[in-house]
Amino acid sequence: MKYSRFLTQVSRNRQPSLIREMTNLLAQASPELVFMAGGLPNAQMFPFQAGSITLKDGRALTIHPKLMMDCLQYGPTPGYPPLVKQLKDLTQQLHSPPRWAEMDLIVTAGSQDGLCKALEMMISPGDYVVTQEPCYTGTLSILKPYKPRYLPISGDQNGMCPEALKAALSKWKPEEVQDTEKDVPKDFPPSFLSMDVDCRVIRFDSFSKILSSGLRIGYVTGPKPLVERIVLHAQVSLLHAPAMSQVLVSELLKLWGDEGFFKHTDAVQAFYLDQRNAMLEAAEKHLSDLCEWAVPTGGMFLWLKVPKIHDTWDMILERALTKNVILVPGKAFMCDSSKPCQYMRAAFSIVSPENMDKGCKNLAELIREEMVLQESNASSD
Amino acid sequence: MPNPEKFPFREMTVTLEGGKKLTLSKETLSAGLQYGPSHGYLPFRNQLKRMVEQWHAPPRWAESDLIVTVGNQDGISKALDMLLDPEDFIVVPDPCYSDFLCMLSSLAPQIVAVSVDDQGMRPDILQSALEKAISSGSTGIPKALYLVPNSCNPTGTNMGEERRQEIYAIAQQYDLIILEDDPYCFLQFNDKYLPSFLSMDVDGRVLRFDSFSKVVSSGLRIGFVTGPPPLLQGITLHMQASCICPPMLSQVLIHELLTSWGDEGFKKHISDICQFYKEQRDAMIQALKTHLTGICEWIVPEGGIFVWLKVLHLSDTSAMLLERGAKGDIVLVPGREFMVDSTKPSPYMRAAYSCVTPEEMMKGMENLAKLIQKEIELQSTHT
Repeated sequence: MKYSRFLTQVSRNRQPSLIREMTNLLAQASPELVFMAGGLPNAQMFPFQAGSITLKDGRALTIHPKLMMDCLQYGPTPGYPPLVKQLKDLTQQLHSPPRWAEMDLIVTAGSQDGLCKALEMMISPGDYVVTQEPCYTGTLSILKPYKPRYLPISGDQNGMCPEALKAALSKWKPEEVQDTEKDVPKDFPPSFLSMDVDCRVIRFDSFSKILSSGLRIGYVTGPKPLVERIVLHAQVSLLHAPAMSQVLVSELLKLWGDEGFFKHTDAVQAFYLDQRNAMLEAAEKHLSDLCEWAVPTGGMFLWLKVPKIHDTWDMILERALTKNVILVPGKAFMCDSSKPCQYMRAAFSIVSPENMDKGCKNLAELIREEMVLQESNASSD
Repeated sequence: MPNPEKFPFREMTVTLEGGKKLTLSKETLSAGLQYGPSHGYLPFRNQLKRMVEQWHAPPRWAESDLIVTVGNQDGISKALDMLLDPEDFIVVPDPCYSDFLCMLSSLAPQIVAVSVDDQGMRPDILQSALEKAISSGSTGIPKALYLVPNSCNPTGTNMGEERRQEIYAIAQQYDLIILEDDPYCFLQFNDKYLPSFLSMDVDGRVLRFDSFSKVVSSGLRIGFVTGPPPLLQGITLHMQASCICPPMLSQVLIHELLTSWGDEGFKKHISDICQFYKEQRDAMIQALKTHLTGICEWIVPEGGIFVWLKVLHLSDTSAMLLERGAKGDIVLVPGREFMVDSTKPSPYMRAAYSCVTPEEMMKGMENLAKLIQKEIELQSTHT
């Protein structure tokens, strides 16, 4: 695939920072080499010498002085090398990308920073953007300054509808149309990365939901020329993802091994499944005549439609606090924020089952009051 | 927000230099592991605000704000994204910090390069360069001026107080935002106080970029920006969309450290690192005197970690360093890398004395002398 046509002029203009490239020389250097090229501070002057993290299962991660230096000193832009290797192995194991040899990986300060840099790499003001609708607000925040022309694609239980996608793209003529229908295994739907025969997928992974959101660690996998553009952007901005965070994640993955890692993700899954079930119970109890929803098969959100309310924005932002409940109004996830939206997003990650019950009860009251308000507004118009 | 109950970390202790242990409380570690506010962990931000007020007494402090960034360079990068349309002008010293030039090469604004002397940007050249830009007929306007006033990267020079006032006055005349990049402010070897641009900012036109990278840790990726709220807002919104918030654990650790130190402890730490880097500088100058007298010229830096060397009998150092340096067991950064016009030859080189031992410096300068000698011979056989 030719990638240059996807790049903005700014991205094309990016050149490697020589100083950062020279630091790579250190890796292959003879011990006799006197390296005075990098502007590295002397890590002996950093006040943290060692550390220890106790895990919830009682085991400890020891940060001995040498490892602490890795936590505290500048590192390579693509990521702390042991972590990069671990993540490449994990990606290969989970996705077996068909063109793995032509791909690369960079650790980012959270997956959203990777997404932001990938979009900034490609989008110019007024460009067309194909996105599912509703769309994650973080993505819309990245795109908003560019005033894109959205091609929002409606979806169903399975996400974006291929027919709607084809229809939206039909005004352009592709040179070839590829049939990508595949048998979808029931337990673990294959990633786009795993079916990427063309090398056109950039995949954004995150540790925020399973290890820690505050550490700011995610990673991007994609075609080498595109990952390289992201690396160059990172070289002149944040330099690299926080080193201590990378070291901690690496040491943890090392301690756990594959078995421990999947044991943990299974535990996370089981926890969120319980949360989802409690949420559905509360919703069914209080909201079944007021709202519609599809049962989420993963994640931590319930997407509720309120058919009898014209727009949930004011109801939530101006009146929900008086009912001691807060959700996100659906309009925040729509490409066209001038249109009314009947949806709302409820997160069931943190709330206890008791509070879910209370919350849904309050939400029901809020909706009923809103319906009355709506009617009285309509009759007074 | 994900449920922090599922995060596998339970407790964290760090040992500081001197053996003191800092244990993060459950709440503090929790804060370190969860998403936080885009402009920074509140206790940390408040701590930094108190420090900035104490050090700089900014004349418009009540109308200023402060945000934490993922290293000071990310703050600068986002400030440029915010300020520069391609037709706009930005003023930079020449030579200039190379990573800043890299940022500019992608945004491709119009560059006003201002030659420097032993104090940095020359006001007379700045004035005439700005006049030229304005009368060029371009639709763009000069918007910002970038400088590293203390231990400038790469020249190692400090800008004196009077010179700073002159530059500020010119910035007022042409209505420029001043981007004060000051990562070496704590690495000054003498007690001479040089007021920051922030401390003289009567107009609210300074964005000051501070860093913990040379003082506490570079890898934790923590810096901060002080300035007018409308400008900080632009940077914060971009951060919200990109990294969401600066790394929480890094912020929590530095906050706990500064709290445990108090003002006295912080001053002591700064004094210790200055002492260390001063000794490094002295050893470097000794090594230079021993091996490079008559071969190179240099100005003795009053702070920071760099010496800017000029090779007396070569017109350009790039090929020598990049192609032959490693074999000669010495690597420095060629001066051309820091010049606005990187096509022109440059006889300069930047040496960092932060991480090498005095013995390595001696060996390195000996190697450098040999390398330069060989290069001079090579050049004369070619001519």
